[in-house]
Amino acid sequence: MADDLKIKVNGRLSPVAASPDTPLLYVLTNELNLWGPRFGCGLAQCGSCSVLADGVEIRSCVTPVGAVANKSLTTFEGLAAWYAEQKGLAQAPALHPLQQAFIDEQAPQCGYCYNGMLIKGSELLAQTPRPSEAQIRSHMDGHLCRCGSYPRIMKAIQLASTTMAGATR
Amino acid sequence: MNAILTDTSAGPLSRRDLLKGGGALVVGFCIGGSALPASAARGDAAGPPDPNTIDSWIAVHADNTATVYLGKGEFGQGNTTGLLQIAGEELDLDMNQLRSVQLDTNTVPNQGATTSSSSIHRGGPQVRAAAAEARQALLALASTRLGVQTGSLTVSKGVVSIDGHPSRSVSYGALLGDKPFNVKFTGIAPQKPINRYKLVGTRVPRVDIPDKMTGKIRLHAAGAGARHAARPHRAASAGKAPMATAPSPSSIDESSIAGIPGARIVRKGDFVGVVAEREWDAVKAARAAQGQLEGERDAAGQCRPVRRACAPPRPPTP
Repeated sequence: MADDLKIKVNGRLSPVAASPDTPLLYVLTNELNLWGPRFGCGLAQCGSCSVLADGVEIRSCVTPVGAVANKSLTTFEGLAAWYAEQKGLAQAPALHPLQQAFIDEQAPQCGYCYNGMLIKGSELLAQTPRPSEAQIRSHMDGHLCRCGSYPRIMKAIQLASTTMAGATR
Repeated sequence: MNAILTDTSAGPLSRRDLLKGGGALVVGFCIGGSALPASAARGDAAGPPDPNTIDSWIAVHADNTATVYLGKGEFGQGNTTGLLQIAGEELDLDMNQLRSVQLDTNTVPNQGATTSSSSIHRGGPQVRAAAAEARQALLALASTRLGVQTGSLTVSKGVVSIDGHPSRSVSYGALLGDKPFNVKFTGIAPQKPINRYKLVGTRVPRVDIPDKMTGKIRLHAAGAGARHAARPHRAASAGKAPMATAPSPSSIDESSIAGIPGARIVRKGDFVGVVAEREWDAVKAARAAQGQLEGERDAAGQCRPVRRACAPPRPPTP
């Protein structure tokens, strides 16, 4: 049964050796060698493990891999290509604009949250290209930063929103 | 952090293994993405470096950059950036001419624990003194090369020139490129007066952030990233498997995990662990075994928790 399971991650279809009840995070890390998504709380409470499934953020630490077999998954590693696909760009940039904005605003600190912040922030910007501060707060609620870097993350999302708007003109 | 370095179950981790990591194992920071000739100046000697020699602290490369060996870990608190600013100030190097090597006790001087917000307070003076001493050594070499006293030399961006004659110059890289200083660290070299500081006290971008955003830094010593601290070597070492541990259980019914493929109980001293080929199976086995522990109290009446699985083996990067 498990032999037949395949998942599509960052545009590539990969066979899964783990049993279908295995949380997606374990497969991404241990089988696909993708280290962007992180084990944070293991309880879907912090967002450290987030990935996109058909463009929608999910918590990979509690999502059985068997449940995402028919979805197109995007991890931290695939964000730039996912963005290029959305924008119809011929070539993916080195970084998603939000990743660049995280550098420009010096947003991340310890490393616990930024995978989830980037995944959730990218989801937001895909759905709502020019979000208000209230919309950002509401959308990002549920992703925890232990360092308290929220104000810089807010600025980074706003900056990315601006640069992404510029890219379409 | 120490877990990476003290786990020798897959054989000793040599300085060369660590530094040539080249994507297989990125520890600490490789700023600018260039190949890091960190061991070039010092060779590949095994064992903790001697803190009493400048070569243990700083290496100057042929491309007029320098590596600073830091015995402090970066957890996102920014100490790498701060310590490189301190080194750059004394050496008159820009931030883009500096990189650091960290997290390998076989490579970096022992600066003590990275705790208590003390990296700059305690580690800073050491780095400053080492960089000041390195500068004096470089000025001595430049003095010979340019045929003037060190007092008439000035340095900017690692280029030493004669005061008033900027064209008569030589770079640090040309003076020493990847050769050892062979200078004792006395700690008494004159340091730059604070009123001449140009780099310390300014805002510079944190050096650890770009590699986090590109995913180059895949190991992290803090928080969630600690799970990522598994050595790639472990994956290749047969018999190593994910493991979950429970403190001091008096009894575990081994049949409780019988239905989980490959899972078995291992005991060592006061610990009981669960191992399995796959991490998730180990987690499931730990949870199954937890049932056996529920209600178990120690002498003080405290319930003994079962800990979650520890770091999984990490597959080698192709």
